[in-house]
Amino acid sequence: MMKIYRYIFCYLVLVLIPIGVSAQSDTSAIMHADSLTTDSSVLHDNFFDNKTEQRRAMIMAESEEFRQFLLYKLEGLNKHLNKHKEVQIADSLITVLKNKGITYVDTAALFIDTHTYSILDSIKRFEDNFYDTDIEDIDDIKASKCESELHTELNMLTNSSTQVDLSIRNAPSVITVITDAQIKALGARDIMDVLRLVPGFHVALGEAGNLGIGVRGNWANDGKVLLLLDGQEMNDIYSAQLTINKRFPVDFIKRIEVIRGPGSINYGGFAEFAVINIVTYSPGEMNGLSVGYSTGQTSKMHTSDLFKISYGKKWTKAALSVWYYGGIAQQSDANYFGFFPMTEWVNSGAGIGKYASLKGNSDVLPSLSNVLFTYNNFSIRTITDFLNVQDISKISKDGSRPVRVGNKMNFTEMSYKWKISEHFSFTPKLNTVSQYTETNNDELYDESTNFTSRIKIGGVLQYDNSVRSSHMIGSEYFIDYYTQAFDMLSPVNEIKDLNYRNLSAYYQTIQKFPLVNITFGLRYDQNSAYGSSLAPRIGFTRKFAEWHFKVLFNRAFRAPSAGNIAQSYTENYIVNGDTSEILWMERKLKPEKTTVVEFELGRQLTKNVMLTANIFYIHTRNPIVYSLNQSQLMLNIFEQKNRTDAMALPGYRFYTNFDESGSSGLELQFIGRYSWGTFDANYSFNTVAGHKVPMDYKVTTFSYDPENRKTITNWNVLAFPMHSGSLNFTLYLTKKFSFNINSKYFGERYGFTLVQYPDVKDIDGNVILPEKLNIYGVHQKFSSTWVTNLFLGYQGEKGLELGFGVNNTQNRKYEYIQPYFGLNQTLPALSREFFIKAAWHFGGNPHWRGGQK
Amino acid sequence: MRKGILLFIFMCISILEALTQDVNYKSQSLYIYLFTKNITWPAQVLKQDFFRIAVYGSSPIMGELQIMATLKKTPSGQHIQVEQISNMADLADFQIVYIPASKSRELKSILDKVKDSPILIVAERGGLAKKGACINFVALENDNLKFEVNKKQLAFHNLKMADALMQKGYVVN
Repeated sequence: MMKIYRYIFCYLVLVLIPIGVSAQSDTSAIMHADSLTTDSSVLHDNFFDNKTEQRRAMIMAESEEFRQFLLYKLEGLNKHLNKHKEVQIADSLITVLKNKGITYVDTAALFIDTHTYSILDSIKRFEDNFYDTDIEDIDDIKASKCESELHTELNMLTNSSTQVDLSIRNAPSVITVITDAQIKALGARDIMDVLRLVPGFHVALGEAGNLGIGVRGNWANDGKVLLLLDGQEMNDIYSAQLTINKRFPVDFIKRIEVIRGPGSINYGGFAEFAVINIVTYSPGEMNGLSVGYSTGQTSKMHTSDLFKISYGKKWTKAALSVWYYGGIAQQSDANYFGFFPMTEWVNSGAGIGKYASLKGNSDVLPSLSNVLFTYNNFSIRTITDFLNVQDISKISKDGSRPVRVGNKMNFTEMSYKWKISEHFSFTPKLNTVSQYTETNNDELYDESTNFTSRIKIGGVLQYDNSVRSSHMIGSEYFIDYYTQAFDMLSPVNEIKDLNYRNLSAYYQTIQKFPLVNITFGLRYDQNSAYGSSLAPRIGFTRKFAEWHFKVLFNRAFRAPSAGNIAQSYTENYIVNGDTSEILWMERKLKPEKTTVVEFELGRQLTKNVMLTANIFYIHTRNPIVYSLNQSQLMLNIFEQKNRTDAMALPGYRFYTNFDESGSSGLELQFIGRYSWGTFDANYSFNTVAGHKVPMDYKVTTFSYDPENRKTITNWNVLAFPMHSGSLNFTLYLTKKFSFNINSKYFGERYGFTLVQYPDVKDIDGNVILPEKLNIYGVHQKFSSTWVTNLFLGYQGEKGLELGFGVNNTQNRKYEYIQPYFGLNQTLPALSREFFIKAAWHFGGNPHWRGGQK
Repeated sequence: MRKGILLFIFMCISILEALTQDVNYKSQSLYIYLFTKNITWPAQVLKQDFFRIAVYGSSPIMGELQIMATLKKTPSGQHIQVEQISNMADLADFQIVYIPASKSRELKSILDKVKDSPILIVAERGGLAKKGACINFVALENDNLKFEVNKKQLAFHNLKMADALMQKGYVVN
C-alpha cells in the first residue's frame, strides 16, 4: 500500500514539472525558501507560530520536525484521512520532495499549497477505485469538469426546438425550461401560474372571459402559439385558440419547455410565435397511485376545488399511465359588467347591461384525462379534454351569468419508433382529433354545436450519420371535417359542411462544426383552403465552456383554421339592387407569415449562476386579426336585417388579413442554482415602435369611429406592457421543506374599459339618455404594479406532499385586458387568495427532492 | 483584407482554445485506461515490460495519465509508462499516441510517420477519427464523454477492439 502512495506522489511531481511548478530545483528551492519565509500566505500555519522566520527556513526536509509538519498539513487537507494513511502519504511525500531537491520546509509548504487539488484528487481516485469503472458504467462520465445544479440543468436535453435531443444552450431557439422541482417549489396549481414567469409571456382577456397568451407584445391566442402535451397538439382545431384558464394541471409535469420563438418548421401552422411543450412523467416515473387536491379562498369567496388522480406502472416491455384532473375554479371575485341579451336592451327597459359580482359567477370547469399505453416501441395515447367556462360578458337581470361556452375534445395518437439500423430511424404516427364546440343558454347561439374532426397521418425519417450530423425528413397529411350546426355570425352564404386537406413536408439538418453548430430547415405546406406556405429556418449556435451564443433566423406561418375562415370576410361582396342585403360575401384568409430574427448571448458567471440576454425582431405579413369591421355597408345591412333596437352596434367581428404587424425587444435572464435553493430573475422589453400596428391593437382613445381615435402611444399595443419582469426565489429549508417567493412586475399597460355615465338631460331636465343606457368605452392607462406570491411546501419521503400559499399577497388590483378594440370591461384578477395543496403518493413519493440529491 | 480574415480566424481559434479549458481530462484518462484493457495489440507488444503512452505536445491530460499509470497496470501485467514527446521520430516506440486538440493539424504527419505500426492514435478533438485517427473523443449534448472509432484504421494498425467497448462508441465508417 505504501508503495502505491509513493508512486502517486512520485508521478505527481513528474507531472507537475511541465505545467509550471516553481521552486523545484536545488538552487531555486533555496532561493525560494529565503524569499518565501516572509510570505504569510504560504506559512500562516499555527504549526510554526512559535518559530522565527529564520528558524523555519532552516528546518531540513529529512528531520522529524519536517515529517510532523507534513502530517499536520495532510490533516488539514483531508480531515477524514486516517492516521495510518497519513503516515504513508507523509513518507511518500518526503521521498518525492527529496528526489525533487526540495529540502527546506518553506518550499515544501509551497509545493503542497500549490498542488492541494492534485494531491487530494489522487488520494480520492485511489480510494474510489476510479480506474476500476466498468464499461457498462461509463455512460455518465462527464466531458467537462464543472459539476453543479446549474450544470446539470444546462446539460438537460430538450427536443422541442428541433425534435432532436439538444442541450438548452445548443438548441437553435430561445428556450425556457421549467422543471418539476421548480414547479413544485412554486406551488403552481395550473400551467398559468408557471407561464406568467416566462420572459415575454403575458396573459390577456379573450372572448367570453377566456384567458389567452400574448408573446413578446403580440396577441398570440388565435392560433399563434402551439401547446404540446407529450408531443400531442392541444390547440382548438376549430377556432385555433389556446385557452389556458385552469385547463392544464401541473402535478403530472416533469418539465415544461417553452420556445419563445417560432417552431413552424417542425410543428406547422400554430407554432408561429411560441411553442409550449409539456412533458409529463413517464409511467415508470409515476410508479404507482397518487391522489391530490387543492383549494383556495379569498376574503369574499371560495375560489377553487381541483382534484387529480394518477397511476403509472412499467413492466419489462409494457407501460401504462392513467391520470385525471378536474374540478371547479372561479376567475374573479370583482364586480363586472355584463350585457343583457340584445332583444331586451330597449324593450324591457332594463338597459343594455349591468354590473354584478363575479363571486360564484365566473366558473371554469376543467376536466382533462389521459391514458397512455406503450409496448416496446409502440405507443397509444388518448387525451380527453372538456373545458367549460361561464361567459362573464353576458348577464341576466337577476345578476347571474347563464351563458356557458365550452369545448369537448378528444386527442388520440398512435406511434411506433422503428430503429431501422444504427443510423436510421423511422417514426410513423396516426392522430385523430374530435371536437365539439358548444354554447349554451345564449339568445342567439343556444345549444349550438360545431363539430370538427381531424385525421392526420405522418412520419419522420431520421438519419444520424455521426454525433455531429443529423438529417430529418418529415411529412404529414391531414383532413379536417367541419360541420357547423349554426352560423356564428350571419346567415349570409353560411358554411355548413366542408373539409380541408393539408399536405406538408419538411427537411432539417443539424451540423456541428468546431466553431459553430448549424441548423437548417425548410417546410412546405399545401392546403386546399388557403394555398401554400414555405417556411425556412437557419440557426447558428455554439457553447464554448461558460459562453454560448445563438443567431437565429426563422420564417413561420399561422394557418387559418376552419372556424377562422368560416368567420372571415375580405370585403368583397355582392349586394342586391338597393344595397339592403348582401347576397354573397367572400370568406377567405391568407396564411399569416412571420419572420423572426433572434440573437442570444449567455455566460455562466460561476458554476452556479448564469446570465443570458437576447434581442429579437418580429415582422408579420398579412396578420390575421379578429377585427371589428365598421364599414357602413356592413352596419347598414345588418342593422336592417337583424336589429330592432336603437342601440347601434359599432360593427361586426370577422377574421381579416391586415398588412403588417410585429414587435422587437430584448430579454434578460439571470438564474442561480444551488443545493440550498434557486433564483430566477428576468426582465423583458418589447415595443411596436417602428412596426405597423393593426388598428384593432393600437393604443388610442375610445371611439366607435376609427377616424376619431387618437393615438396615445406608438410604443405599446393594447394589454401588453413594454417593460415586465419577474423574480422567483426558492429556499430549500430542509430536504423536506421549501419556501418560495415569486413576484411578477408589469409595466404600464393600456386598454379599454366600460364606464357608466349618469343620466343625460336636456335643458328642461328631461332624461334623454338614461344612465342604464349611457355606457361607453374609455381608454385607460394601468399603472405599473408587482404581484407577489408565497408558498411553503413540504415533500415527505413516504408519500405526503403539502403546501400552503398566498397569491397576490399585497392584494394588488391586477386586470386582464382585452388586447384588441372592443367594449368589454377588463377582468380583475382574484384578490388576495390563500390556498393549500395536498397530495399522497401510495408507496412513497417517486419525485421526492431529497431522494434525488 | 485577406490578412484581416486570417487574423480573425486565428483569434477565433485562440478564443476557442482558451475557452475549452474546463475539459475533464480525468474522464479521458479513464477511457484511455479502458482502451488498454479492451483493445488487443499484437503479441510482441504485450511481451514488453512497459506499455507506453505518448502525449504529443503539451496537454493537461499528462498529469491525469500519470496518476492512472501509477495506479494501474495493463491486463497482461505491464506497467504503464506515460511520456510527453515533441518529436515525431519517437512515436514508433509507443502503443498509444494521444493527440491534444492543439496538435490536431499534425494528424496527417503523424499518420504518415507511424504508417501501419500497432499504435492506437487517440485524438482529443471530435471529427479526427474520420480523418484517420483510430479514436477521437466527443462530448455529447448532455456533456457525457463518448468516443468515435474508425474501424478501418484499427484494422490497419492491427488492433482489435472488444465488442463491449465498440458498442459504447460511435463508428464512423
